[in-house]
Amino acid sequence: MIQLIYTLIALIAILVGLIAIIKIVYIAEIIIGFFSLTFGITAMIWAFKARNSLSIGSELRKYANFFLVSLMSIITFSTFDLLLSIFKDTELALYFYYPKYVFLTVTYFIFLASSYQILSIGKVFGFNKAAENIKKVMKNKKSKV
Amino acid sequence: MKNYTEILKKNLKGLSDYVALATVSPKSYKEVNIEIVKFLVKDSNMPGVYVTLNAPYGTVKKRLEDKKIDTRMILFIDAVTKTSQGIERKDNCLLIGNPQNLSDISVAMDQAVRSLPGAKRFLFFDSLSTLLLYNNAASVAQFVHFLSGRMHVWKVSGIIISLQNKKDQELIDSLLPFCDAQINMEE
Repeated sequence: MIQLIYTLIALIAILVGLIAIIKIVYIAEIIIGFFSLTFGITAMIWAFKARNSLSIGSELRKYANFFLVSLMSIITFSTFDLLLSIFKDTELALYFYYPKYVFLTVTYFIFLASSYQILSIGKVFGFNKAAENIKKVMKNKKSKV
Repeated sequence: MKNYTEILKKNLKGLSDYVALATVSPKSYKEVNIEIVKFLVKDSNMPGVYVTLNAPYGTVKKRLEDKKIDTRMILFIDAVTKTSQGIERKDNCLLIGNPQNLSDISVAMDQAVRSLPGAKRFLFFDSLSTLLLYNNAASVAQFVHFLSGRMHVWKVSGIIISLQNKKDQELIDSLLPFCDAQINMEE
């Protein structure tokens, strides 16, 4: 019951925050930018907590590290994109234009490394081939009986 | 000579998917291990997963083959053999390289069990006592609760072996509520 009350209060707070952002910032591009950033920061907090609970040196923790770094990179890209939207008609916009694309490229490189990591995990933890051999052994045993 | 098969049959009578905790004295530990796997593979005719934190995969495989147990029916997860490059594959064995790597042991067990063909499968975990040597009590308790829960989800015949000693008694007592049977192999 108490948990439900806390959840309801949290939901009301989020709703009030959303309405405040929409009322203060009229531009849709910037509103979406803020929302995306909040989701990204939440994802980063959860990924960080998950990563810390995994065994040191484990494959899962290594993959979580890659995921966390890619999240940080994409959040940085989103931040520069949002700043560009806010300051687009000023001289400051120049300082955000190129870093935005640098971080986007860096993010794709990290995604590539993460995908390679998950490919390695798949090769190591995949037992399908070994299980096929067991299936054949069981089939042979059945046919002999 | 004790008839360990009869002890197992008596304690597991009527159970199909179960989580059982088998306690054994240090003297008969090796023999009991082999008899349990023999009961699961030969008598019950099930494929399964053998998780070893004690003896290396090669040693376990030889012991089982010497007793005419078909090791082709078993997937091995060896957490005791040190590896040069993290996790390695060797035939039907996955070498974790570190008994403290509980995350990868968990993932390996999940993948191995889910890949096994047939409705009847087993998971043999050797052993709870060795887990305590390499990890702190809190981590082991958490891991063991996770393991017993997952065994029920996987619908396997699960046996966790532990030495009968005072040091492990607290952990054994905390695990018992989650087990369907406790088998005293020295009865």
